[in-house]
Amino acid sequence: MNNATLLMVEDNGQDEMLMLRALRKANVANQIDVVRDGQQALDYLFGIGEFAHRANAQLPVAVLLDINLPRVSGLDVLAKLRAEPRTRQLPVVILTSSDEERDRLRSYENGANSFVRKPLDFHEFAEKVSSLGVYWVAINVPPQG
Amino acid sequence: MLDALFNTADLAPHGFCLLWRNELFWSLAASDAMIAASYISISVAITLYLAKRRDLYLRGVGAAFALFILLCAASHLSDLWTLWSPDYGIQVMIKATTALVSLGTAVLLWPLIPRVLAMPSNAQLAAANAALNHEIEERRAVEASLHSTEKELRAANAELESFAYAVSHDLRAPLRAMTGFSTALLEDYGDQLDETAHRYLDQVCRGGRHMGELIEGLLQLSRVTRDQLKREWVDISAMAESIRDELNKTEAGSTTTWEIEPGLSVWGDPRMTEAVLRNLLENAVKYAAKSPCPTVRVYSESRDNAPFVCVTDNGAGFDMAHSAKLFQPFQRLHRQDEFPGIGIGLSTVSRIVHRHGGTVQAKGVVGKGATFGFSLPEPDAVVQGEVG
Repeated sequence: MNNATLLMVEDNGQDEMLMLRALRKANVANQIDVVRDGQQALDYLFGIGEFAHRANAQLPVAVLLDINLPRVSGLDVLAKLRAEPRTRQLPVVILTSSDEERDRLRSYENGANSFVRKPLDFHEFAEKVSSLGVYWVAINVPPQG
Repeated sequence: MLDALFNTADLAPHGFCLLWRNELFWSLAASDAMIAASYISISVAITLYLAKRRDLYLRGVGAAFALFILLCAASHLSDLWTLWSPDYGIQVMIKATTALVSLGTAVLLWPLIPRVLAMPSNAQLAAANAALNHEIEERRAVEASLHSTEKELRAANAELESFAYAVSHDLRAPLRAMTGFSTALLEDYGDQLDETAHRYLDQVCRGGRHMGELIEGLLQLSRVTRDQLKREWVDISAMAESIRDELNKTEAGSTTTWEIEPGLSVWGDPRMTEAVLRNLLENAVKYAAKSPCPTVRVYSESRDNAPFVCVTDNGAGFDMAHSAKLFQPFQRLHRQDEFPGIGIGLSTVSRIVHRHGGTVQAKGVVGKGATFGFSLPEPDAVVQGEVG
């Protein structure tokens, strides 16, 4: 599991830095790839466009996916991943500041594996992000084994 | 005397007086018969009319009139009968009864004249009716315009609410960055900063935390306005007990004595009713915490014929002169260092209660405690659904 990668889809650079700091503290930071919007996430995972070189690359062990993303929204990314055989079983964690019930229900309906709210408080936020990192990188066994 | 009255021995029929002259006798007989028949017909017609129009004004007079005419018919029949047969005793009885009823009807009629004159004529009624119709039209027009204004207001309100929601929601990420990087600075580079720099960064974090609470308050307030009401019977006593058990675990709640009346219930949205009760109980515990033996009571009370659920504490209380501010968002009657808070709880309570079409009341005495009571309309009173 040494080359296990976590994909973070996050358009907010500040949240990204804070998340990376938390993951670094949890010793899982060297395995994080970051993309900035929904389209980039799809290109990365399907190995197309600017990520054509990843066409045969191993999938990440999990995707941390925001909902409010430029170009293609997180929920649309999720739906497209679930429609493709290659990414159908890919663990996807919705990580969002939305507290709308509608978003939560739609995430699970679209096959999210987990729904996590970004807390406002920085300490809680850091704690949640590092537990997520540890869990998906070190504890959970992904479908590809 | 009665015998004398009905004794016809020495009497002759009326026809005898007319010497049985055909022209006189028969024209009199025919006239009496026709009059009697007409009178009977008239009184039957009046009686039928009165029977069908039970709402009629002066119905009693109509009945007296019908009886009077019927008796007139009877007296004409007796005239007819006595042409052949001298039963004047029976005729006297009939005529005497007719006389009494006629007299009664006549007496009854005079005082009625002013009342009958006061009755509006058909033309007046028609004019009044037209005026009423006109007014109904006007009211309908006003109602329609009110309705559209209300729709506009609701739309504007909803827009404002979603704006408040979006703004407060979007404020969270930059705020997290501010407090997050300040904390990161303190944690990662704290050893390179002097004491003053530490103090300043602490202030940034503290300000950030307070702003965070304000944003959460705004979101809470906007949520109770946006979410739909789903009403059912809510067991207030059980709800209060479960909130009490939670609050007892907090520092302020650990010394509180509770009195919760059993069997209290209201007709409301369970989640929102819980928010109302939680805010009132949390406030009661918070403001009573500094008194020697803090007590919180939950009970029902009837005010203006409506059942109120009341929450009373024996804590800091408030000056009734400032009570208007109580339910305004972000308005507080206590300093942060006395009782911390952001001033959103009671405005949440009042919004929820008003959305249910209910009433909320507050009473307080400085240093003696405060009572907050709310009343939600019961199912049969909830006709128009929610308010505002």
